[in-house]
Amino acid sequence: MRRRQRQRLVRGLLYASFLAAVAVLVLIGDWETVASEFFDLDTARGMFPEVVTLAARNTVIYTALAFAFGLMFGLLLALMKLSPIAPYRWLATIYIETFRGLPALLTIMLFAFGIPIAFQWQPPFGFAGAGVIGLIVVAAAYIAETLRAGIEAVPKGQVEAARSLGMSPAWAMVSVVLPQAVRIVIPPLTNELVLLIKDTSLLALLAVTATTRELTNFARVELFDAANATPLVIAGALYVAITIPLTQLVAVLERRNARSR
Amino acid sequence: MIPGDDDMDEPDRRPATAGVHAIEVEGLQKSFGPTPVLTGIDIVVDPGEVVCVVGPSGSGKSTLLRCVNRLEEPTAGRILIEGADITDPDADVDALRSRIGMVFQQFNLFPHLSVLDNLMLAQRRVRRRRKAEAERIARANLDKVGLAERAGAYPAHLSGGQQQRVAIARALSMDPDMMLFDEPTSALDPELVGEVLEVMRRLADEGMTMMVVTHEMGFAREVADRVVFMDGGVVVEEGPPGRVLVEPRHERTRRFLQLVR
Repeated sequence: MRRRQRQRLVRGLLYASFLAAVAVLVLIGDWETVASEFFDLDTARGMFPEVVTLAARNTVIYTALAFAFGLMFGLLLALMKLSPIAPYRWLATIYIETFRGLPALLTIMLFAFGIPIAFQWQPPFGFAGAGVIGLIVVAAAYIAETLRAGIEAVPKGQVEAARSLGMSPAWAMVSVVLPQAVRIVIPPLTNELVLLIKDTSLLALLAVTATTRELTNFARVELFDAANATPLVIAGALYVAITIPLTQLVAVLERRNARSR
Repeated sequence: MIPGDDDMDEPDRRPATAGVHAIEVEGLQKSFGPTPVLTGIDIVVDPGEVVCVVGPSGSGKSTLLRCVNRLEEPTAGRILIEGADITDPDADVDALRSRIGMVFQQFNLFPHLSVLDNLMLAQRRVRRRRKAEAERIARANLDKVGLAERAGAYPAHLSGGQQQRVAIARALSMDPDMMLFDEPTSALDPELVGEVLEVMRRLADEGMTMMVVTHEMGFAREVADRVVFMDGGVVVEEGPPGRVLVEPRHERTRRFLQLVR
């Protein structure tokens, strides 16, 4: 009886402190400034439709390109890392450890400035292209580790069953191991996709042309034009509008996977 | 030759040489690192013969079986499959394996494929059969193990006994010349053991060459043509089940039989 009373008291205190915090915020907050600086309707209206048709679109395009190519190179790296040939394993390990260890921004600058200056190389599609290449290089390293873990999570008996039926190592990988590995890695891969969406904002630090700006860059330009923080809120809302459906999709896929098992 | 299991569209893969052994193990040794598991095994299995390999766990029975289709790499010795040396570095291991059906303790069905697709995959990839033909053979073998109506099910929705019968049907769909069984009933609930043994018994009656690692002494006594008792990495004794299992010559065999009875 006393224990239950104590529990009730603790819970009451938790609710009370929450309400107190809200009350303090309402009383001391400068809500007019918040409204005019972060939620200014004129500034917001001025951003449309370009913030969607140009900036959000570019963000999605850069993410899709980086993810698609990152998946391709990542699979290659994962297979290299699992290869019986030692130099391939070393090469993959060096690549993965390097580009997971470097800040993404440094890698992007390597492709946007370092290599172009060193070799007089013109990146395709200018700085935006160089930035996407940098994202691909980074994404491949992370995706490779995820795919390797997924491949290794498929029980060894699966390969043995396939090989005992006379299938070659390559066929066993393609038609028995990879389909199962993909199912295992869909949730972590989607998380990487979400991270990649946010990493495209690093391209805002490159001097890209007006038509190749992505969300963060677009918001930054608008922010300084209007001397108002509203563009950050709009851009932020659009990022969330892209990422939340993805995380929900993962939840659905995980539930469906759990059912079929 | 398995009566009634012959495929007319297939070139005859079976050797013309009469009197050649189905499996011939010569001086087989296998170590895992510094640990010797098999220390000189000689076993011959003739076409149509059913050989049961029994012995305490850790005696090397499963390792022996896994060496026969080279899922384990022998440390020394030779293994001839219908006269062809599977341990030869130049041997076409995939082609030889496709003639040796293998059934695993853990079933190892492909969980991402339906029962029918489990039976068709290697037929299509390895035997290069057309879809309709592969499906006809798959359905015939499912019917043989009494699971014709479960063709569309996924492995996760089958009982252990059903899964193991599907695994047998999958191996049979390759029209193997011989079958290896690695403790096929050890992972099953007791009430499901019978249905699997029944399928194996029928297979033996049809004249299939079988090498069976098992703890089912009743099955060995009734179905085996010959019983091999292994302990400590060597063959202790072998002979007809009526002798080895009823009046063993060796003390070690006697002790083992007392324990399992």
